[in-house]
Amino acid sequence: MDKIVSVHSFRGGTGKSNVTANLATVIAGAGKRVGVIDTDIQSPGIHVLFGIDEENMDKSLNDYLWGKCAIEQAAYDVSRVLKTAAGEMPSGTIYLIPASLRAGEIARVLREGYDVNLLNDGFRELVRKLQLDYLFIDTHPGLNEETLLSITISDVLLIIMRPDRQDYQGTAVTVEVARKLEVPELRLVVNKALASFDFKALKERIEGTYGVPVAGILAESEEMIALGSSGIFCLKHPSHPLSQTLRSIAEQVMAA
Amino acid sequence: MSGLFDRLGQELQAREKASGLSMADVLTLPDDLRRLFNWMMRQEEVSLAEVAAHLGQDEPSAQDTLARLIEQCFVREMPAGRYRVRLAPKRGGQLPVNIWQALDEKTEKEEGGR
Repeated sequence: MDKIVSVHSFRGGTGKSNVTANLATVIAGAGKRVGVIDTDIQSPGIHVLFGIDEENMDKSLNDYLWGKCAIEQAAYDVSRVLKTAAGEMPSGTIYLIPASLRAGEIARVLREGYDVNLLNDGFRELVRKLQLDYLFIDTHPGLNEETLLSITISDVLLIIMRPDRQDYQGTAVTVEVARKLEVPELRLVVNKALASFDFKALKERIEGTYGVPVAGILAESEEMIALGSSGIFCLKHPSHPLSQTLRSIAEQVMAA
Repeated sequence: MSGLFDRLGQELQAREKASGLSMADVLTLPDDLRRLFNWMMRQEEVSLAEVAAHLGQDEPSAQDTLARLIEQCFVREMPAGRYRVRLAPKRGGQLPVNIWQALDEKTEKEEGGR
């Protein structure tokens, strides 16, 4: 049975796109068919992690929303990223549906808006047409129409937060909204935690505060900063503790 | 004459597009109605019998509820007696016109230079 997984954070800069790309890659590496859609139309970014840029992007989510193409025509097979360091290719598949990088097209969406029903239909069409096992929705930070839509139709919602007072308050809002929208499976992921923190105590405190399970705590990592979104961390550093945590979160998503 | 009908058609289309339920509206609905919309959104499309079962009502009562939601443009009737939530379009931003013009000129210049 297919699953829609939304990855959201109340504030920007939480590492949402990085976590999304890594989870999608781990799950595709397990032989699944995975789609990743960038609904952060105002400030798209996840395409960078999959090696897509404006030059090799013909169609995008924007074209679909303007009725210029079918949603699957804006999907790029980026399974080449799954190739291991040993040159092996797992049996899974990963598709990316990017949002446009062209300034004029971003401005047009901001100015004219779009039909939200089309976006909703597009999610379902993608799952059907590409025969996806998982569709990951990378959302715009904060709460807006597309974020609320993706939360509502999700089977699993992952809320990414940093151990930061502003994130604590924003996450409380998002958790409240997710409960109102009755998301079946809700998990928190703490990112960019200092390695010196007591992770067990942090997990217990956050779970106690929100009443939501913490799927994993990801430490701030020099290797991640050095990678600078130029690739998928868990493929570049498969033995790194961060990759182990990402794999554990991916397993929880698959088991949810 | 055809111009008048064209304009009328455009006006009706614009009204059609302006109606519907925004996701922010869903959050402010009474609990029972919000639960109905959450469920309908997840199902994509539902039948009258399914709505009746979800609401714990008989079919005539569920039909009455749906009729009211259709009248309010919150629900759309699909072929073969199916129903789905009707979402309002996302409105564009309200920036002053001169900012959009400046942005258009800049992006046209950039795209023309490619």
